[in-house]
Amino acid sequence: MKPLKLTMHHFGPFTDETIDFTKLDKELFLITGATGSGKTTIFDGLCYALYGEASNTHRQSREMKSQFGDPFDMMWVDFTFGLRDRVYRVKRIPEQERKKERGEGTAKQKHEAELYDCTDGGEVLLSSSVAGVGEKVVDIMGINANQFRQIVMLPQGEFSKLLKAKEEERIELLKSIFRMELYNTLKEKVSTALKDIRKKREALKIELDTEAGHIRCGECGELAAVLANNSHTTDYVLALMHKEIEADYTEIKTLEKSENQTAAVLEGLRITLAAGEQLNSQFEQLDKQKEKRLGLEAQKIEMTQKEERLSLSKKIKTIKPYKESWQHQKSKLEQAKKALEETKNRRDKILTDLKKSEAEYHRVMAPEYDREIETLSHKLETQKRLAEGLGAYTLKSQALAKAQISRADLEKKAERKELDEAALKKLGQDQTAVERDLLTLDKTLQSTGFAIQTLEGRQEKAEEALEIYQDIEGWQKEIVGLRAEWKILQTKIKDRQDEYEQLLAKQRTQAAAGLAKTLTDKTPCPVCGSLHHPQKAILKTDEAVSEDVLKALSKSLKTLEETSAKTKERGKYLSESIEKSRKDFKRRLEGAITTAQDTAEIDSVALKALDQQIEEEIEILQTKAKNTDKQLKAKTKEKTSIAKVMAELEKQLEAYGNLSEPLKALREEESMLRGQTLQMRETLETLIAAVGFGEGLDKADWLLKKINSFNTNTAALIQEKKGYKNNTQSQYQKLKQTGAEVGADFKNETDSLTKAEKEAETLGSQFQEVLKAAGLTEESIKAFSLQAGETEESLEAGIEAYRFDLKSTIQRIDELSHGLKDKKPSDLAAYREQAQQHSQTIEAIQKRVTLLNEKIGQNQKQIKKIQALLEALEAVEQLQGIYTHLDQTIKGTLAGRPKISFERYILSAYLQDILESANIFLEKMSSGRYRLEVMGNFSQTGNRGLEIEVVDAYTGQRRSANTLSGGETFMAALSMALGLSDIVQSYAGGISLDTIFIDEGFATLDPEALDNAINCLSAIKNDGRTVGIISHVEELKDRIDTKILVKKTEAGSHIQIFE
Amino acid sequence: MRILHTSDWHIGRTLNEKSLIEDQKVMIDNLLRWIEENRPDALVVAGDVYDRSVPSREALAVVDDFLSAVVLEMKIPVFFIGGNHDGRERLAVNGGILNRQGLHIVGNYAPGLEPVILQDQWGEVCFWSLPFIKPVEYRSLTAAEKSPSYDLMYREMIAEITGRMDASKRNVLMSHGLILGGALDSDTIDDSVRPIEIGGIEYACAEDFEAFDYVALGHLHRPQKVLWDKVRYAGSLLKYSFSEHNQKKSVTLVELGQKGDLSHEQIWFKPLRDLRVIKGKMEDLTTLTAYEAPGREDYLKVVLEDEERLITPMDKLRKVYPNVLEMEYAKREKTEAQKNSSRIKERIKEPLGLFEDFYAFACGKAIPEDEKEVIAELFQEITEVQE
Repeated sequence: MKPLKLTMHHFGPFTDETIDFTKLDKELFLITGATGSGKTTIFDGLCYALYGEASNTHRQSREMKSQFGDPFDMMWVDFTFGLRDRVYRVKRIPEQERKKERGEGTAKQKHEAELYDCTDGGEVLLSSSVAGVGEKVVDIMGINANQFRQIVMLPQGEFSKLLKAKEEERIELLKSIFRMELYNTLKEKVSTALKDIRKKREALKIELDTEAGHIRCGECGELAAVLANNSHTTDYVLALMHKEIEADYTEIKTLEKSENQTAAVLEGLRITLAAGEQLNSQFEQLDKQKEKRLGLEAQKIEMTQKEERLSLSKKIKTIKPYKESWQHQKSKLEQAKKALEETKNRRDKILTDLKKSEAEYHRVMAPEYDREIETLSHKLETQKRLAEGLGAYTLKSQALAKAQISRADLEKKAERKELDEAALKKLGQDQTAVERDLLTLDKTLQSTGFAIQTLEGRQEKAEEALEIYQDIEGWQKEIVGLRAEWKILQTKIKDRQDEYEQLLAKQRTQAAAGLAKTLTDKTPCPVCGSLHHPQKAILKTDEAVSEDVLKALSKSLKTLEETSAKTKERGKYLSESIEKSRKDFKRRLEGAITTAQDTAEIDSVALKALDQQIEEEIEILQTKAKNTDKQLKAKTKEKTSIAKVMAELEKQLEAYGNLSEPLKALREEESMLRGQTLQMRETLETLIAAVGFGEGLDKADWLLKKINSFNTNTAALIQEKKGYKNNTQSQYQKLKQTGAEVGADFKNETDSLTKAEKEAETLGSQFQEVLKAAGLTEESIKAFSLQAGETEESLEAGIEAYRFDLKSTIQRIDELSHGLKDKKPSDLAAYREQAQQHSQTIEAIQKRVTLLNEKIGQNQKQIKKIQALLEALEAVEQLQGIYTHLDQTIKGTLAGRPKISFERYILSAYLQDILESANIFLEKMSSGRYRLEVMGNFSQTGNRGLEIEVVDAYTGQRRSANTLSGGETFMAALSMALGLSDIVQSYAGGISLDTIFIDEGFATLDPEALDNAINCLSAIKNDGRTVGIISHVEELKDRIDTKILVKKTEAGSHIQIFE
Repeated sequence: MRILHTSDWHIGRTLNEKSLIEDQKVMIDNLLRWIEENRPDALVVAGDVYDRSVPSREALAVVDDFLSAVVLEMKIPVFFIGGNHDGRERLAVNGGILNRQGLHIVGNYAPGLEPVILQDQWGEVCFWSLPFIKPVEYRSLTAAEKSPSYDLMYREMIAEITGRMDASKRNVLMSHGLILGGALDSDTIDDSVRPIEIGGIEYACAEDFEAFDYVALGHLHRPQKVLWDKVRYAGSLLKYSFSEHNQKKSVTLVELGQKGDLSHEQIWFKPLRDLRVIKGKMEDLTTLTAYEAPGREDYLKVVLEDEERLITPMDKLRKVYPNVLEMEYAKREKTEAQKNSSRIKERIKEPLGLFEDFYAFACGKAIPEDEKEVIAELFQEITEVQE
């Protein structure tokens, strides 16, 4: 994990600070600043961003909120880091109070986290839930927060835990780094299994006791005593039980013998008893039969009566059919009479109805009735026609009204069109006028422009002329000055020349004198060679001419002459210039003036006046041009608006289209409709008068409604009349026919009545004859009846049964009396008592035997159960032994053996590995003085396998790591952290630990140790690991160039990077 | 009928905390390309498609993309069975729907399961699924009193299938489990299959498989035949542990002709990175020439032969070999403590042996048989749960 960028917002002392780690080009950097400035907070920020936990377990994320700025500004951390070849960004908002988004007050901000993959520049969201980010971070980092604090970010005072913490804590730390689940599970499994086994053993014992409680034994005897006192082993109890069972079997045998004997006696008694009981019952039978016979004889009279009733009943039965057919015939006759009467009444009624119907029939068949119907039909027809007419008329009237409105609309439209056309024409004229004006104005503008241009040309020329004029004037003045100067110069030159001549003469004399002075006779003159010097020149002191003066004079003269020549030259040049400029001036002037003025007369005043005049003229013309332009613009605008209005009008006119054609058509349609309405009106009025409702055509709607209701009524009336006629006709015909039919019926019925009367008479006499033959009368038949519940069959059966019963009873009495001759009933009570006693004895024996068998059975079952339980118990106890031993072994609690658990045994190997890697660092840092080793002597009291010892090479002593001084502890702990990171990576190469941060501790080092530590860290750095150190140790500030400086101010701390 | 037999994809696996998903994606792509070009009639993946019972989204996506292409676009029927690493209930979710699309997933073993039948010019081919199952699960399924041995369980399950199958047709069995030809040879088993060695490994004998025309097995990571040519392990997709560094991974193409006709062929794909073990001194391993050596980015286990330990050896190695996943020093114990420690580390993946050592150390004598049995059983239970 390489940090790239960390932003902390309202986090700790920082209100909004960003550290760009990529700016730290060195792999080793220092975070420094005053105490309390927030150095460690940077670590917290990193650690919190990654894991949602601070770098130190004592710091709570809630407490990290900045004290500076608005207390409700959101606190968050944003951290970008590289991992292997990828780049990730994580942002976390801790849980905190924040302002409500709406309204007053505060709300709770939940913990939020987001993780992105930014490898390819963009951001790919990997997770946005706290749990998801947590998982993903551990996944990509390969280590969790705890491991991070042990290996990557070594927090103040905490990373020495691995070295100095209590053993338990060290175990926890090692376990958090190396996977020990399998072995922990084993420990727990053994422990749990042992507990289960113990429980099982207890349960078995309880069960054994329970089963012992179910043993059955006699009230006294050894078994009972042993069980009561629970005093002997289970095996002894089992032996006693076997004995008890043996005794019980013996008793059963004795009992069975006695039972057999008693049973034999009982058998004999039973035979005797059976014989006596049979005799006694025969005597009882005889008495019963005799009693029965007496009863039967008492019923004899009743039986005779029954026989008589039976014979009478049979006789009556033979006569009954005769009487029934006679009575039947009589009732038939009655019915026939009644029917005849009804037919007669019907016939009479029909005759009356027929008479009435005939009169009505004649009325409807008369011609007057048909005429009535015809009149009504005619009326209906008229009304219908009127209704149709009225309907058509209403439609026509509406069409007419509509046509009128359309025509009026169109006429109005045509008027508008005319107006628009006129307006368009007027606008056309306006447009032409405006265009004309525009042309004029344009021309004016052009000419004015032209005039201004001309004037401006003139003005320019006049100004130029003035300029030239002024130049000439200046030059002329200069020439006058030059001439005077030149004159003076000439005088001066002359004077000087004279003066020079004089001085030159003097000098010549002097030179001679000088020469002469050196001349001696007979010495040749250097000039002439004469050896004779008669007249030697004599030097006069006042006349002595200095060579310098002469030279100065000559120079002055030369200067004067040069000046004079220059003056002359200048004058000449000016004259020439004037001459040239005069020509120019004249040319300009000719361009400037308009009138034929003499150019020579013009001077500068005149020129200025001219310029002024031209300027005024230009101004006038410009004003004019401006006005013209304004007018032009106004006109143009006018033209545009006219064009617009015209376009609109044209569009409008086009929209009107051709109006005259449709108007003509509409007018024709209207007049046609009017004609039609009038015609209809006449017809209709005639019809209305004919119908006579009293109202005119102007109330057409009312009429229509009225007619419609009348029509319905009239039609119904006609229908009714026609129907009535038909009905009457058919009814009359029907009545006529029915009358004929009823007449025929009456005649038939009268005939059959006569016949029935004759039949009844015959049957009556037949019945009387039969009655007489049987010796009965109608009264005696009526009086006889069978008793309730009696039938002929039941009577017959009763009589039969009685006869049989009586006969068999007498027979049975004879048989019994014969058999019991000379015999007497016997007394059995004594035998019975004896038999009962014997039975009871047998029962008692059997009960006892059953009881004993049950007891034996149960005890045998119990023996089996107890034996099984004993076996199970033995097995469990054996298992308990194994598990107890294993449990103690795994936990390291075996007596007299090293107190080292399985877990510690394994962890000690890891620890050994870590220490070996750590020693490379520690030896370097302590200049070869210290090494760390796992305490090897396991039998030493208190050594539980994970004790760390320091071996001091200087003294050769081994001592506990706890005795190390502050500085030594720091070195050892740092070495262990580095060693640990080496080991973790070599076990799990997927984890990349390329960064280490160390928070403080350096203050405890002496200069040499500090040197060594820094060298050590530099070596690591060279292998590509980033090393960050938090410290305020001065020497470090000097030794490490790359620094992150945390500055404390009143408004929070700020971060600065130095390279 | 041409059947492509593969197994043990372990999608989502990590090796020493390094995710192998990138390598797996490349392999799955290779496989997909081959299928696209060669169009086999069916694809069999004999278990352990995923590495975890709850696979990550990324792992699911890799398999999903592959299946969409093969099943939906190419219309090639695919068979999945549950392996010991798969969440077997989860795997078969929506199985009914998928079935209709031609993706046949059987997560858990169910007696009486009907075969899936495919057709070719020689008639029908029946595909029988026999996913991974533990004897304890089998016991609860059959309501037997005691868990059977692994071998017996397999014999029963095979008998259940052979009892109702039509031997005149061609029958293909797909299964995930430890099936061996003879006695157990510990070299057969590699670390991926059995991360932790337990006392007695349970396995089934392949004898009863003779009734089938082809048996597509999964579980062992080395491609191999078992007893006959027609009973084969396809082997894993990639080398998944350093103990597999010498194995050549492949997929198996099987061609079924008329009943009794069978030929097979191994197909190799080039992985993104190889997995190797290298040895040597740090100095020699990280000379300048090492940068040019091929396979520098392979997954490596480095055995350092330096006499002394080095500072930050992993940082040093990673500069040359970015994907070093494991490092150890060649044996160089000097002190008693070092000897002990290296012995413990050596046996860390062999818990029973480690425990034996510990027992001897703690009790001063060798572990008696009865105690050893108990510990072996407990380790077995624990690893079964952990798998």
